[in-house]
Amino acid sequence: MTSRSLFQRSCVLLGFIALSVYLFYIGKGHMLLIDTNAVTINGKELRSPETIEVSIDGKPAESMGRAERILVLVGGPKHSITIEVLSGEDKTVEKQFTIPTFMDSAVVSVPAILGDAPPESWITTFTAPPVEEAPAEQMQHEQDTPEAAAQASPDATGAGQPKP
Amino acid sequence: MSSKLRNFFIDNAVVILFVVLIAIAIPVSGLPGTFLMQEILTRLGRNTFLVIALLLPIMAGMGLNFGMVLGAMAGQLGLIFITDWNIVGIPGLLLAMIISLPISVFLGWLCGSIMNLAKGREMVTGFILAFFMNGLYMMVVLYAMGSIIPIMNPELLLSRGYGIRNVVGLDGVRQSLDTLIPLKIAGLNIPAFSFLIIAAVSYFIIWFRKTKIGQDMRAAGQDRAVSGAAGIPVEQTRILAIIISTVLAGIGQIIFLQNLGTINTTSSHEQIGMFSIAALLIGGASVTKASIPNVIVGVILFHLLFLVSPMAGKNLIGSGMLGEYFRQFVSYGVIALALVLYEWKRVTQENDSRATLRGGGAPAAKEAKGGAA
Amino acid sequence: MDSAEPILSLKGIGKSFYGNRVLADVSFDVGAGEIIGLVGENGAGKSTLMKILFGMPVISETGGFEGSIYFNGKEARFKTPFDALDAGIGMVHQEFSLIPGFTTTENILLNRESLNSSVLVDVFGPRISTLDRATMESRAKSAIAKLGVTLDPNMLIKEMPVGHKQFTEIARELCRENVKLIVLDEPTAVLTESEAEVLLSTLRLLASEGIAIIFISHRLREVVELCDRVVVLRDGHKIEDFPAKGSSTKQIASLMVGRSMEAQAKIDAASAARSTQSDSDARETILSVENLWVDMPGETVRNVNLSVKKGEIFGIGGLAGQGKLGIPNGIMGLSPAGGSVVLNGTPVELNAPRAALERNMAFVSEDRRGVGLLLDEGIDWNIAFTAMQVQNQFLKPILGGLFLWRSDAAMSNLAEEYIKLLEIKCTGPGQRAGNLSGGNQQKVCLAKAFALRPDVLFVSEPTRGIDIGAKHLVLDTLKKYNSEYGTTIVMVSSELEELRSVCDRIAIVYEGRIEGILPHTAPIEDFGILMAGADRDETTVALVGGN
Repeated sequence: MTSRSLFQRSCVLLGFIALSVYLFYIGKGHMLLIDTNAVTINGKELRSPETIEVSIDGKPAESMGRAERILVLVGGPKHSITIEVLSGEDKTVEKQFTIPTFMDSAVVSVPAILGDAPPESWITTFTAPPVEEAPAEQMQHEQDTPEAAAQASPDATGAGQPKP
Repeated sequence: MSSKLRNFFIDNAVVILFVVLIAIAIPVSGLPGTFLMQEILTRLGRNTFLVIALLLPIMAGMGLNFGMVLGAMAGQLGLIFITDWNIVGIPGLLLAMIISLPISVFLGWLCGSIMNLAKGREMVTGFILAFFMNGLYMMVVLYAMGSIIPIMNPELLLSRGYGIRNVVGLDGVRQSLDTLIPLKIAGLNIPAFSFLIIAAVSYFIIWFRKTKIGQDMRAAGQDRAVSGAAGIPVEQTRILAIIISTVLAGIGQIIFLQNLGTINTTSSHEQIGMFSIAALLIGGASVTKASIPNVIVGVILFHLLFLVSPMAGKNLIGSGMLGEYFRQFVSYGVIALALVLYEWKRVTQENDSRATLRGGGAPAAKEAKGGAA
Repeated sequence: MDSAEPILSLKGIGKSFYGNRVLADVSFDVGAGEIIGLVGENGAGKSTLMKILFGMPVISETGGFEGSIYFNGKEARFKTPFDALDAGIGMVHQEFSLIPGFTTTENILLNRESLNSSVLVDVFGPRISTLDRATMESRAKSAIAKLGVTLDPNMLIKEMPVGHKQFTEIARELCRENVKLIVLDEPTAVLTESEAEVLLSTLRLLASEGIAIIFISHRLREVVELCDRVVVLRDGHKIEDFPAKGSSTKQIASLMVGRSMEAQAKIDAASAARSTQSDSDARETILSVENLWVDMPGETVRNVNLSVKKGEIFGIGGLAGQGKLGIPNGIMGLSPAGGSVVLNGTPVELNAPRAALERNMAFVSEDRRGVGLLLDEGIDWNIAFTAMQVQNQFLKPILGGLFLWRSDAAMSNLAEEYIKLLEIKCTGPGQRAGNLSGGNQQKVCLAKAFALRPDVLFVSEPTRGIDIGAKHLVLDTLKKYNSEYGTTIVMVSSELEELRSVCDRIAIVYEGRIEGILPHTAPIEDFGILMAGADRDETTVALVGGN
């Protein structure tokens, strides 16, 4: 193996590794919990308007009330959120935000965004409460024994399907 | 003229048989044409890549690569990982393919090396190797994953704490490839991007035949002794054919599963060898000769038969279960039929060449000696 | 044609395989542009000599060779055929070394194709480049032009007539840059008369351009016509080396098979002393073979017609690959065959070994390990087996024939009998057949056939691999069975001496046909001529008695 080909092959290998890291970064999926609960930032309590319509990345908008949470599945680090306020002052706010790569579930606080809080406070990590409150994700548990399932027909999805 | 017609029927016996079968079954099943068309388009996008993976080993003289199942396993492992890490969309698929690459290369090298030890019996060797590797795969997937191999997402695991559960949902990457370029013609959804990928890999195969490695593979596939005497590294070339086939099978399995949307951890890979080989053979390929038109025709005919047989069975006999039996029967049966036809053709040719031996004066005999040489 | 220094010089070449001497002190020179004809019986050492020249690994694996080879002025010790090829020696083998599904061009340039440059080469290696078919075709065309024949560069090999295949092979050797010597092994064996003529003129053309040629052939007429000099090998020695002009095929044939005067006289005396049976014509025909063809790879039989008299010992001889081994294999159903075989007036079913055995014919195959023996079973099993299967010997009916019970004692006794008779060296009747030496294995095979008490016994290569003492024993036993029990024996052998010492009449097979049948008393040169397939005229002369 000539040194030139060794060099080129190393480049290709490194290229693959770099590509993998990149794909990991831009493909990482996140569970966004759009949250309209009141938050306190820097001593100030911020609340969400009565009714809003929220759209992530240009997808169809969902309407939300004051103390709700909806689940949105996204992929990648950078996203946009469009909040259209329907009650009180009509305004539409569109902001870009970035989810840290290793944050699987992120709470996006609508009041923080609307209240012009500093961007670092918009996104917080979601921690599942210890016992009672049912987590937003409803995964059904499978039977334990691996059975030989017949070749799957296109309808069986297995995992529960929360609102996409 | 009649001998030309006879030869045409012999050469294309399998295709003709299936076209006739389907032509009868479609009206009997009562399924609407648009439904069938849509299904065929979807299945073409889903299955063709896997069948293309079978082409190179046939060119290299190693027969039908039952060992492609190893590639399917590698692809599945890749998908399990990206599901665990929650990588979605096209990046997720690409990453799964990249992860499956080294696993496929290793398994392909293993498979090829073992097949080299069993020259002339590569097909059954691949078949048995697939069974054996299935055991290893199960060990990895049902025992090692979650215990030795860290799995971050506990939802993927069985309730006992280790081992991947039976059905893994691919919600993150579901249909990502198919919907990348949405194309709708005459009310039919066409998976344009999948077709583009299939075109790309077809082009790769065609280009590969024109390279020196491709030429060496063709030579080794026809006569190992002559190729070896000319200095072609026959063993390595054969292993390379299997490695490429396994890698393509891994990628093909990823494409296949993203369309289905779920992995059946224990069984998704098992039938894929059988079905792909059956499809290729129905398309008119043989153990020694296969081309891309065989692939496309085969996928269409094979899946048409799959689609219409349950309803046709129900309308004919009153039992929908017939479809499932028929499915299994067809896929095993067509492989047996193709192998028998191949053997029959070979024996007929031998007999024909021997016909010149009988009695005969000197010139005819010398002709025969040359023909037999 | 005569250059100062010969292009190839063999000095004192010798070779023995595990103590078995195959070549001894063979020396000759080949000048540039000279055509040497190399002739000799099989077993004379021609193929071994060529293997040494061509650097075949089997030579170095078995202890190398003696003597030295000088090629192109330098001493040469090729370790692999590729070394020989690189040095400038090309070899055209007897079996075509061609890929049937490739075109002429692809075959001529096999593994030496012209490649397009490619950026991928650094990463994936040189084989990733695509083929430059245009350059390939022009290279092939120039090689074909050197031959002076027309070949379609784009025709597939499998669709080509045989002569063209041969030319493609030669073109492939020519396409190498520095080819100086080409060895052709039986090149005209598969060609028609006219194709052979074209080949010979092509070879003359090549020679005139300075390429030396070694022409190995059994077709003596062509050797005399084409070659400048003839080298005759026999029993591993070079017998003669003389100019072809002025020699005759008969002369060459007799050199090929002849022995020293004394040895020959002794054999002729022994042969004559053997009481000749009563006139052959008076005895009835027991086996009549007509238009027999047999598809046995390497020993194809095309059209054999024979009549074997009852009670005679009929020999079948000929050079290797000419078809003699195919005859018994075909008649006994071991190879696909057709034609008509009639035994005692009733036709014999072909392609059915059991049918042949049930007609009381037996066969001792030349392939004793593959066909003749159950290697994992004892001697007693082996000897008794066929008799038990076909004739229900050593089986006692039980319960009125419901079961057949095997009698191990009877089998063992039989084995003891034959062990004594044939002096089989073993530890006892139970010894595993696979553990016996080759000669003793052969004796077990013979015993198995004798146990059947056949009417017609075919024996192929009865004394191959057996030492001198055992040879006599085996041949004497055959003679005894013939004289005591009247068994008709058909013996196939490559050793002419053996046939002449045992048989009444001997047929010689050439190119799948019976070339002639001679009485055992015929002079040895006559056999040589038949084996070499010389002209019919000369054969007639020999048969009539002219010497």
